[in-house]
Amino acid sequence: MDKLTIWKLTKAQLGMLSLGLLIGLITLIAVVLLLAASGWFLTAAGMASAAGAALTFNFFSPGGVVRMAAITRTAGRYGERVVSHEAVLRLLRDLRLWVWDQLTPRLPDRSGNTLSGELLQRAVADIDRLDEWPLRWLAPWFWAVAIVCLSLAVAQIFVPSLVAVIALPIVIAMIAVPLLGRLIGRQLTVKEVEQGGRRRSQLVEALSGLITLQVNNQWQNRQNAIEAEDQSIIAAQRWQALLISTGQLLIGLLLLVSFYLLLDQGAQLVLNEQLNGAWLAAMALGFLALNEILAPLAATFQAAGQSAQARQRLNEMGEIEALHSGGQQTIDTLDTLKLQALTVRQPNAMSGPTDVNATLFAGDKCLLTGPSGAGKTTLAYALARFIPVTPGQVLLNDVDLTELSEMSLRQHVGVLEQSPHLFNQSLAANLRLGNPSASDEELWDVLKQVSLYDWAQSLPEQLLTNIGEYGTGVSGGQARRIGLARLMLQAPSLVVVDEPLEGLDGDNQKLILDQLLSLPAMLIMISHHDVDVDRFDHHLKLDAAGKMLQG
Amino acid sequence: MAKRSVTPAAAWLKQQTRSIRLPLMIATAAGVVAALLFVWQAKYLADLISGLALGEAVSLSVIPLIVGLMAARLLLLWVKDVLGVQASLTVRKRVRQALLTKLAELGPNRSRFGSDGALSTAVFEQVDALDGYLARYIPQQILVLVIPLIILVAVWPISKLAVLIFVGTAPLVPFFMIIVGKGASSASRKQFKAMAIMGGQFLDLMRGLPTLKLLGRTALGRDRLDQSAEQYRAKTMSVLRLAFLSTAVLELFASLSIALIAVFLGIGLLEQLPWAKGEVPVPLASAMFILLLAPEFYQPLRQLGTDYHARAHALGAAETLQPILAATTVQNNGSLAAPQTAATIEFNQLSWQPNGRDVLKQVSLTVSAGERIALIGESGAGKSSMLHMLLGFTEPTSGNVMIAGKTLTDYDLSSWRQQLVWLAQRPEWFSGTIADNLRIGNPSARDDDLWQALQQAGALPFVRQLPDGLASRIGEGGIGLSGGQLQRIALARAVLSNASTWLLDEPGAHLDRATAAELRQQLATASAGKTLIMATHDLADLDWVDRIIRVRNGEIEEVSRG
Repeated sequence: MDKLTIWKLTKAQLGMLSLGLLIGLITLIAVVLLLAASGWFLTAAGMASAAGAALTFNFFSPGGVVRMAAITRTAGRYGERVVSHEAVLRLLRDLRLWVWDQLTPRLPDRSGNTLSGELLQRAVADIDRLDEWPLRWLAPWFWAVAIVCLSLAVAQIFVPSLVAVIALPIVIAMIAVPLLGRLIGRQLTVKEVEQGGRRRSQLVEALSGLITLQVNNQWQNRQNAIEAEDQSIIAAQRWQALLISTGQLLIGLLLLVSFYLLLDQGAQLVLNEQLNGAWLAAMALGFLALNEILAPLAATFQAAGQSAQARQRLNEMGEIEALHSGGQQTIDTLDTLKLQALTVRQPNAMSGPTDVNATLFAGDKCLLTGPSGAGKTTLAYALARFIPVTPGQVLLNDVDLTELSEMSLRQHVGVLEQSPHLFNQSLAANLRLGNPSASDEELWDVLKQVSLYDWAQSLPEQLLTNIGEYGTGVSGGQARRIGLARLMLQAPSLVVVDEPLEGLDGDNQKLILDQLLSLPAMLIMISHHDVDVDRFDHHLKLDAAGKMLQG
Repeated sequence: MAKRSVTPAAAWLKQQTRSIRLPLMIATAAGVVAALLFVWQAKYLADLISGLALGEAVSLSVIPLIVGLMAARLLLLWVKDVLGVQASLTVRKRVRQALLTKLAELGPNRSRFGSDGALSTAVFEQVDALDGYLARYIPQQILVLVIPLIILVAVWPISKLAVLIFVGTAPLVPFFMIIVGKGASSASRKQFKAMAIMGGQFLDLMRGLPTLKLLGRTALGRDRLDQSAEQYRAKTMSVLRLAFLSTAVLELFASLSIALIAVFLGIGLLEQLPWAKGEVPVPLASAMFILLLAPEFYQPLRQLGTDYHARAHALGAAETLQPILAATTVQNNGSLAAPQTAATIEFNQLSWQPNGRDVLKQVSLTVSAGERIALIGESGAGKSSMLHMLLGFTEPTSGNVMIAGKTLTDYDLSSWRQQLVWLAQRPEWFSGTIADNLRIGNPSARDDDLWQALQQAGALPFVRQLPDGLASRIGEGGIGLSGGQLQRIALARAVLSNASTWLLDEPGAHLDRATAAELRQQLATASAGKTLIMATHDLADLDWVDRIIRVRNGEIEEVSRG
């Protein structure tokens, strides 16, 4: 498993991130410098005037520094934002591809399912949380440490005696406050996420059984339970917000301790004529800018906790057992398919296909029937290598299914699921997944074969009409036929179709069955509809427990 | 600010702040007092620095006062934060409760607002998206006007030039608010949209991953993901580059005002201002005071620019939430207790036309007590709508439903619902043990009763085989039961509830022939003596019902004896 670490997150966009951090640092130096230089200039001018040296005072260079700082600050803020958002968006892309690469070999899981909608939503949220990590954690820390070190270094040059005094409260503010927040806040973040998941599944479950709960006078109990969970999450959120605000307050107060020492000791030095009043003004004004730079540290513990959790959860996805990735063997043409003493079980299933034996030759048509729960779909998934066969064997031309390369398997074995997924793309793009080089004519041709020609002609943009979740409504029966058309374009040597007649009216059922039986490929058709068994060469019949009754 | 047409969502959002007006007002007041303390503190600090620099007699005892005022200001800002958070949590909790109640009232009609997954996102994430607006935006909206005004008033007597610089660099604060606001809100709206599209595509590809795999096209999926993320980045960046410009303009004026004040007042101190050669228009202490105030003049406006994103976020959420909360539901004012035994059910010239669509047209039908009927017809014919009327989730446009001679609305809805059994196409089950699931029908049932109900529902054989029997868990991490088995558990729950009226919506429609036929037989035995109305499109195995009624296009078409 390719673990997602902080370093990996940073490394991928190191250049952009560093550039953003650097521009940000220059900007913050300009922020401090603008105030410090302005304070110095005003005070020095005032002193010169009081000393009667006003006319000889060179105001061009300090004025230049002030103007420079002002321009740098503006340009820098803009540049920093653009660059760091660029980095974040690139990181977002990296993360999405990383998740895709992790999940591709692992899905569907052994029950033949992809991740549930909820898990997917959570993954998306986690990715979004992680991509903000450089902005919410890395940048505040980098800038705070760099600016504090720089300021103290500059102070060391001019007033070495003050540095030791003012540094301590600042360092405490920087280290102790976020650390304390982390210690107290960690549990809150974990709790919030855990309870959040529970709260959601409680609601989804209650909604799915809403009417039953209401006719049994149980809804209010459920609602109360959800609200109680919500109450406790709200309490956790309140504490977290309080922790951040209080952290900011503490940082501010600790900085004030430093500020007090700076003013008090600095004033003594000025009174003893060991320090120029203009430098004290510069330091005091510069110091006031520090609060804005250090305050964001109070929220970094929360960002760190959230990013750690997001990372952990995304890494957990990698714990899903990977599917068998196949071997190196390939076959040219599929001549025989042998199922030998085949037994397949979905996890937690009490029954499933058991001891199934059959031999099919090129062009053979086979009907697979059995009551629901017998495991017909499980058998189809086993042929797609989504679920392992234990024990027993599937042999394609005497090559074991597990030895076949992924490429060869997909080239020869095509499976049409009960509800094939239609992507939120055009009809043409969906069909071309079967064969990317198919011409428009070929697309119209297969649509004709599954009797969707008229329907497709009636679509607003015909082949280019968007279908899928957000597009034109497509009924279950139409979706299955589009899936079939896609499979015909793919033209595998073994076609496995799961309930292709479901949701079709009588005429279309007959038409689709005719089409399937006229395919040049070997066919295994799963159906619980009353179809004419005589039109098939084989009839595999499973009983309720998945045992083979007839082959 | 420019007058904008107020959408219902925006109006609703504003209305939510009514109940938290007091804490938000206190928060705003804290912000104002904090600004006053800042001005006060700046005065002392400026005097101190100037006094020290010019070698005048200064008392260092003013330092604790300066620091104390600053600390008090921080405390007030803390109070403002905490109050904002508290107010936001109060509203979010209330909105969430209102949503839950509304969803319960909507019952099956909730589906027009989205899937249950989408609704749960609305209840949790979308409600949380109101946070920034409630907690920060509202106080900031006032502070952005008041704080610059306080500073102008403080500076006015000292230096008209400084006032001119402030007002000159911010030609019109409201004007900038609009620029910032418009820029930020249109940018974040575009970004939300692009984000939603890309998120949707990611989900789409993930859901379709098995399909892609079967087709051997996972590489194509990856390419698409890569391209769309790249497009999203390019599009978002072009939006952001513009959006950040409005912030940059503010930043420019903020920096510029500090720089101008430092330079002009500095040159003034050197008696070199072209129009005031040889004189000091503003002495050092006052100049320093103005300089200290300068960053604070623009700070609220810069903050508002940030918070405007929060407002756009909240508005987006309000657009989802407001229609749900505004949906009309059946208002139950009835007080009669429902009859405890089977009663006559009558549809009386009942029509239902949601959004002008004729779903039910002048339906009249009488079902006697203890009669069992099947409603048949195509999907969309209005069968389910008739059942929803009986459940009391939908109010007819005209006509009514009578139970035992009284209109349904005369009864206390929950007392009527308790006389009902509901079996849906997909069996409803809850994570927990089989016993928990059954006891939803009758919390006081003993184990013996449960076994008996399971037997009547034909579930006895398979529940007996389970190693944990009644204590077997179903749902996540539990045993996997087939659709037919779950449907029988639901039937057993119905038997256990002793309700007098059974409403069934296509039970077993997704089961295979043999299992469905078996279920029908069990239904027939278990529902003997009850009033039963079953919507179905399957005519097989209906010999046990008393009447079969065909519904077509919202009308009762023919009636035949079963």
